[in-house]
Amino acid sequence: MNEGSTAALLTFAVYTLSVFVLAILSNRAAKGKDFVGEYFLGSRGFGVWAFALTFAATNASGGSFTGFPALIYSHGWTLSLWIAAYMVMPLVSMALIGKRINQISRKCDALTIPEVLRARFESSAVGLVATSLLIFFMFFYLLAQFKAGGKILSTLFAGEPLFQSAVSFVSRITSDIPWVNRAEPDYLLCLILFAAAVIVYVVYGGFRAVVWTDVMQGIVMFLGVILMLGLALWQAGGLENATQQLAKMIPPEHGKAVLSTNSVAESEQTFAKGTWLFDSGEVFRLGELATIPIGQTSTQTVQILKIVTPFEIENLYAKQASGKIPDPGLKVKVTKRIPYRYGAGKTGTYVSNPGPDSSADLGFLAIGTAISFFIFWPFAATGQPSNMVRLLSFKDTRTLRYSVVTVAIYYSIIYFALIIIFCCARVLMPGMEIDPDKTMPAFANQLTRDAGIPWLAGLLIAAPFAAVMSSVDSFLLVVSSAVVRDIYQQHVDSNAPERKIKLLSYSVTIVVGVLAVLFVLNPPQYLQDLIVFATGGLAACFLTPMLLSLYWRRMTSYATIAAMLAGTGVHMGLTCWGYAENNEFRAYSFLGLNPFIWDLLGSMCVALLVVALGPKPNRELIVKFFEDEPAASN
Amino acid sequence: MAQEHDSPVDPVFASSLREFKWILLIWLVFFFWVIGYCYAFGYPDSETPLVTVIGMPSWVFWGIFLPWIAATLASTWFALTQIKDHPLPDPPSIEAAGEQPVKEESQHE
Repeated sequence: MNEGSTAALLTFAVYTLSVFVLAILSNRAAKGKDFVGEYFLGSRGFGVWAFALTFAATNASGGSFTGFPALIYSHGWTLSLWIAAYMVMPLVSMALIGKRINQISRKCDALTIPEVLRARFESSAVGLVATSLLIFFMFFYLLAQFKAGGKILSTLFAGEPLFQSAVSFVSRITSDIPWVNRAEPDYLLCLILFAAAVIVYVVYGGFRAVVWTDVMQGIVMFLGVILMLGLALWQAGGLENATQQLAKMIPPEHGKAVLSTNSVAESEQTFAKGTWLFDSGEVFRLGELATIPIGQTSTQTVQILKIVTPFEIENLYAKQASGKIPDPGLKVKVTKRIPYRYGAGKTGTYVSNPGPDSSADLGFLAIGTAISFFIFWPFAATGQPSNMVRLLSFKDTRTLRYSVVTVAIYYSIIYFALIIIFCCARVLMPGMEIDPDKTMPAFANQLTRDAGIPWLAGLLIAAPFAAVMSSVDSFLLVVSSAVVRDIYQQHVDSNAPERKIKLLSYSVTIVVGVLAVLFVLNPPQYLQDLIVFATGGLAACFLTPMLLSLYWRRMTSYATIAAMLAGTGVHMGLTCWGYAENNEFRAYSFLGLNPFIWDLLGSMCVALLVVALGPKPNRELIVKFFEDEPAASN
Repeated sequence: MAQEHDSPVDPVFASSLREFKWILLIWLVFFFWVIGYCYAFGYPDSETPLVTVIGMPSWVFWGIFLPWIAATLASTWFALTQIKDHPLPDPPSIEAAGEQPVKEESQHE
């Protein structure tokens, strides 16, 4: 672990240094150009590689390398159907609106998505509603990605002595600071490191630095996945062998147990989360820290995971016998069994749909859910402002065309490889159900250690880190551009000098970043649900109004505002319904369909209704945006 | 309305709208292929023996892997041959400042 974590530290140092070098180069490239256009949109001059990789990397957020691997591990091959819509996502999310939105933004010199909508209808009310909703939803996104960055770094550095010393130091100096002292010191340190790195390079280099670092991050992700694929297939004995093994697997059982020893403990004995327990031919894994107090022989009731698959039990006993896995020699008395709601005791569930599930009677992916996700992925991606704003930055239509091809090939390789890698992980690394989000770093460590190249773990774990960083920088810039461009320049001082705008842009980026850090010092437990809430909310709010604004002459400012509010309203309504129904911060899936589909329908119906009943569109705007103006096309 | 039809349509709008319809059609084709095949063959009884093709369950190969390759080829074909190129206007701020960074970089490539 030590060798691996030192390598990880070095990887991070080299990586961060490269990011700063790119920021410095971006800053130099920006010299002599209009500040606002350069800082928020890189002067609309990006070619194929820069545009394609920034689009791909921004989309592949931390979820692709933490949540997605965890899902594949937990549910098996069914995840290939869950993610299948990524096969058409680059074409839909880039080409559906790319050329048209870029043209309109150039016609009216718009640098942000609210600005495009405002200019399309010459309505500051449209701009203000769009800006408010964008900031509202985007901030949740930012919080979640900051948290993921801090968490991944703390996994990366764990076990490094230098890091542990720094953690102790941070713990000492923050112990008396209210709110801050409630954060775990290792997470706090990593969060500050991560935030400082991102804020500095975004402020110094602006959009151009964000794009260039996205390119580097896109390459790191690609290399990391390809290396992992090779190692995973090699260690699993090929894909055929991995799938055949997977078919024989039975989902494990969650449960509770009391652990005991034969003798009274003379000192307090603790057993870390993840400790393997062997008792009477059965194998368990500890799901939380367990303690036997002084003078006692047993623990309180603790969470455990019982391994059920015969060949996994055999392999684990063989490792225990050879000393590869330590055996604490505890007796395990199971007090509660919690079998999977779907797939318990059955083989074959990991290689078929709907896939095993510990909490849903219908399994992980019922056909209705599969249909919903085939709609959700490409169209929700099209509706994300962080993607739309990238579509304003390509330099010509040829760039768009070649970028669609590049991203299509890139995603085909990355996502299919991830499915294969983590199906292999399910076979090679049992018991990760206790903490599935750590599947990716844990598997990277195991693969490299078993291959005798532990130093490579740093590069593999850099992939999810790069994914998170490339999303955070984009969101940070989207939020700060909304404040500076859409609020300050539009409603406070439209003639502010460039120097003032520059200072304000830097300040807002820093303030937004610092605020996000303060909010996620003690992240609420339901933060993951907030990501889902924010993604769905942004798409619900922006997709329909943007599509109709770009392609329908009769669309009006009233209908645009109504569509944004209706999409948001349906989304909030379903979220409240979900909370009331399930006591979870998650939108209700009416008729088993993804809430996004209802959001979209609600938004579309209201837009059509308001267009039908409301005033006619402005004729001048139709001429400007839908008819051929010789002056504009020259 | 008559006035709208009399005026020439913006060529970028016209070609974008045409491409928009084709993209929706391509999405629909793959939607029916993937969902249809996987619904028919990807939800077997637990007793059904596993059949694999190049190491993956056969429903994954025919219902996801193959359409994924086809979708990538279709995206490539569509992007390279069906999306029309158009000159995009310079934003007013660039025109006013007399800067032409976009054109310079275009020439470079």
